[in-house]
Amino acid sequence: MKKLILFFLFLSLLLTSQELIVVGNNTFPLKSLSKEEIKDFYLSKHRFIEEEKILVMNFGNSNDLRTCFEKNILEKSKRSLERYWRRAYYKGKRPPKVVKSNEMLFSYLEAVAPSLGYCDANISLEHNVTVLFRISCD
Amino acid sequence: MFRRVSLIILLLLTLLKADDNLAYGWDVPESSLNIGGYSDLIYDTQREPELLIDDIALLVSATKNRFDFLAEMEFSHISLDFNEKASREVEFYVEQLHLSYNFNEEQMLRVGRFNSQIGFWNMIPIPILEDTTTKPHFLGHMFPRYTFGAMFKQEIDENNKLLLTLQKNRDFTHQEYALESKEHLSLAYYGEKDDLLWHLSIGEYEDTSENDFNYLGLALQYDGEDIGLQSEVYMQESNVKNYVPYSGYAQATWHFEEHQDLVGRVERYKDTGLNVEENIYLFGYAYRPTPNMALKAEYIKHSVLPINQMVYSFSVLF
Repeated sequence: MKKLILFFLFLSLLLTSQELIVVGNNTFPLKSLSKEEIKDFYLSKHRFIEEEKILVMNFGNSNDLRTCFEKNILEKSKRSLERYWRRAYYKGKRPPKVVKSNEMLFSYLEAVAPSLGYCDANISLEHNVTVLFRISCD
Repeated sequence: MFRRVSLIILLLLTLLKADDNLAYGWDVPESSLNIGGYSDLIYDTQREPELLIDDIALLVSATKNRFDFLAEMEFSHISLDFNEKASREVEFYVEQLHLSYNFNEEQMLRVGRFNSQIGFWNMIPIPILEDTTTKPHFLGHMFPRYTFGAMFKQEIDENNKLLLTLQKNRDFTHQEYALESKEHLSLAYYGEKDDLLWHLSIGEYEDTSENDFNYLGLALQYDGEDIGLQSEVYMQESNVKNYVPYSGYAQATWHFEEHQDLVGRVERYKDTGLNVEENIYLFGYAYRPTPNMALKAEYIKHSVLPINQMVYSFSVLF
């Protein structure tokens, strides 16, 4: 009985663990991206993909998915990112475009090519996007 | 009148930045233009007058297809002495004015006036971006801080890049605390791995008195979550008697609370013109209540020159 309870507890933890996917527009030139490549786009170190300028999107500062993205993909704290973007701004760089909702994200993904964003794995299934990377939120 | 307006502007600027989303400046609608800037109010016990708006600067940037444009213009030394006793005049500088063309992700050509791409400090030499208000001695002594010419960037791979800088003409403006050069040639290498960055530079320049100087620099930076370490060492050679054979520093920053830092810096340099070889010690504290604001206090002690000082500053990026 105890084992059964533990099994269900473990299962419920797995089920509630959020999964994040990095998505590109449906004609995105690549089939997948590495974590390092995603970092480079999100930190504006790289801005082109196959000669085309890419639109990179992020959620607002208080969004849980963004916290997961910064921790697990960018692997930087909020403080470290603040410091990075202060310095980058002086060099003329700009952070990713902030979108306020999934609807806004998918609207841009449909309208702009190439474009890049991220969302909850469950939500994206309804949309025609290219899944480029997948990670579980800790 | 100008001083009062400047102070009011400075105070208003602190309100401009939302504390969110990492973006600065104002994106001009229906264009790729962004307008922002920074400002510093500094109290320095070794300066006359002691309290100054050290600078109010405007940053204008634009990006269009493969082109990037950046202009940095500033008013400096705005005294807050409302009795008109201030001895220093307000000055206007064009610090940067350049256009870059990105051939692709790996190659970029820049022309105009820009911060010489050497070391770490010289790339972001404004108080709001650095851990201390005062700059290390090497800045303004070892190589021209600004280049009015061309720069070519070549990325070797994702973590390594080379920068070649060339100037073959006089600068169109002058700058306080900056060497003025007629010619400048430098080759810089930057490498990085995770939180560790390293840099090597070699170059030569001719100043406006037609004296030749060579320099060699080595720099290391570790930008960790709790601790930041940074060190730069430069050596100089010249055909003249007055030069700076070496100058370098090592600095540690401890991010001990979410918005608070403690900073320690040790410097050493030799200046044959002043006939001085000394150490400089700095101990400082910084409080950043929001990402775009910094309040700093630091004490600087010189081992030889009688210019120990306390410096306080309030900086804003907007």
